[in-house]
Amino acid sequence: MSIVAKEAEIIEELDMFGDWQEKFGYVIDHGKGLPAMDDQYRIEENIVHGCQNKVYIASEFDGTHVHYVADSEAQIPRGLLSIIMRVLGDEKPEDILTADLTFIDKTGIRDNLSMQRSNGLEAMIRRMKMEAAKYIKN
Amino acid sequence: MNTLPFDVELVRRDFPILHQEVNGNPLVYFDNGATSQKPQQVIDAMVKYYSTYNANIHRGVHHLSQLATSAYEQAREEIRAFLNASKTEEIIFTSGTTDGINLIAQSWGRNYLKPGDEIVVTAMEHHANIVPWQLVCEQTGAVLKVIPMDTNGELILEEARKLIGLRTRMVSIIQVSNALGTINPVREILAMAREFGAMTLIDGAQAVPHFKVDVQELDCDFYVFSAHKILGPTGVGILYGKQQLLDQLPPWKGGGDMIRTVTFEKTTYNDAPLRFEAGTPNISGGIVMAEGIRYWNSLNHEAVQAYEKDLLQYGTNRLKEIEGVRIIGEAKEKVAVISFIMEDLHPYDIGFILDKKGIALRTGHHCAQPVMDFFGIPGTLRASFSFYNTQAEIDRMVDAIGLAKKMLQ
Repeated sequence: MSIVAKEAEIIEELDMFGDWQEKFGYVIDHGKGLPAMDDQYRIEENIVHGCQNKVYIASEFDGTHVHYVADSEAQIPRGLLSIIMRVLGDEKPEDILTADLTFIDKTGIRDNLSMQRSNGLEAMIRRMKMEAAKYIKN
Repeated sequence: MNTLPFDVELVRRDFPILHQEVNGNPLVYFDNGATSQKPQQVIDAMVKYYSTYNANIHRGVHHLSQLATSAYEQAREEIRAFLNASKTEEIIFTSGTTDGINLIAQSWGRNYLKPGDEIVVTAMEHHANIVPWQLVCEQTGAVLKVIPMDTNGELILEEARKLIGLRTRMVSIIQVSNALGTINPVREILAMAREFGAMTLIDGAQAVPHFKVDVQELDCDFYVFSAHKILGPTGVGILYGKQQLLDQLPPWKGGGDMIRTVTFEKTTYNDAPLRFEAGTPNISGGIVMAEGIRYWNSLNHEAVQAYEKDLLQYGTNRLKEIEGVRIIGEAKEKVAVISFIMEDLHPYDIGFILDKKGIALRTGHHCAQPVMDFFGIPGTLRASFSFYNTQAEIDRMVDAIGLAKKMLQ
């Protein structure tokens, strides 16, 4: 499934929920599906700076697709991470780099985040794109 | 002195910001430890300054400059009275608590500290009373020593007695912990410092909003605080210093207003306080700060203190009713600040949900990472009350925590 198709899927799922409480209930539940991160990835260089809580993002490359591992100690960031990973994970580096991720605005997720938290979300996305960029041959 | 009974509903009318909705709910402002809200008369004083007598001070003989200078110096005098300092010259305007500590660290520390000299702080300092000393330690070879605390968030005085000794040159301590609310026994610790002839500095940022401070009675060498925590504007604060000490200290920052004469060969410096106030100061800030203190002075302090004590007690009891809540910092002497965590839940997530319910409180390490490390936690939620908060607001916070638990568990 393409990045855009996955975004559409999430927009549709979140459309079912009315207020912030339901929407973020979905985000929190989504985070519960995030696979446990192996301790080998819990290292200083995988910490995403710009987040108010500790967030780790790392990646592996199978020669074609980028696979992410990530974790956060708080549930809402973990939920956001799991949603972005669902969209960007298992995709080609070139596609990840050019993804617009308009679903964040379309679903109303961003409207419900404070400025600082929205910056944290941006930092996560930036980090995932930087990971993807590592695998593009010059 | 005001002896009228304290009426919170009357007082709340003076704070326009409190009467608004956040995310569709009436605002509950429990982040007073970060900054206090401002009464209308403070906001009006700012508008009046810029509308009628804005001018640069200490120079120019024109009318507006005279008005501004006289209001600024009148503010200095009122702040002297507020701290009960003996002389107006002992009151230096700074940009805030952090600036005041850096000034002493650089002006006094850099010039008088030698390798092996010791600076003593406490385990519950704000970063503002750690990092300036670390910088001066790097510059001079002095060493930082830390008075430990126990799990209630109280300093261990026996350890202080062992730490403070012949090598101690400065004892710089926080009077009230911003992260825990503990009121520290500064008199006892200052007495230990005096025994060895060490300098003393008190970080009073979290103390002045809650109780009366008398620098002569404390007999500290330096005292610092910020205006914005006590009803005033941001970007301005005070460094009190004993005059005989200030007279011996070299300037830290150079510029206009701090000089007597300037030539390219040699410059002579002004006396304190101007020697430490280089450049155009925060004129409106200083003047408006005094307006905040005027408002504070108009309150019945005995009644306000009793009211805040009730808020602390009520908030502590209500939070303890919630399963999984652990209060961080249960010192016997506390101001109305409650730091807490919830079992298995991250402060960030709870703070998010509380914000959605219109409740403003602080989540994180509160610029006191060593305190969080001591308790082995990433951060806390901190409800810091002011005299304009109510028990009904605490009830709303408790309800919102219930919702957070439901959503997160």
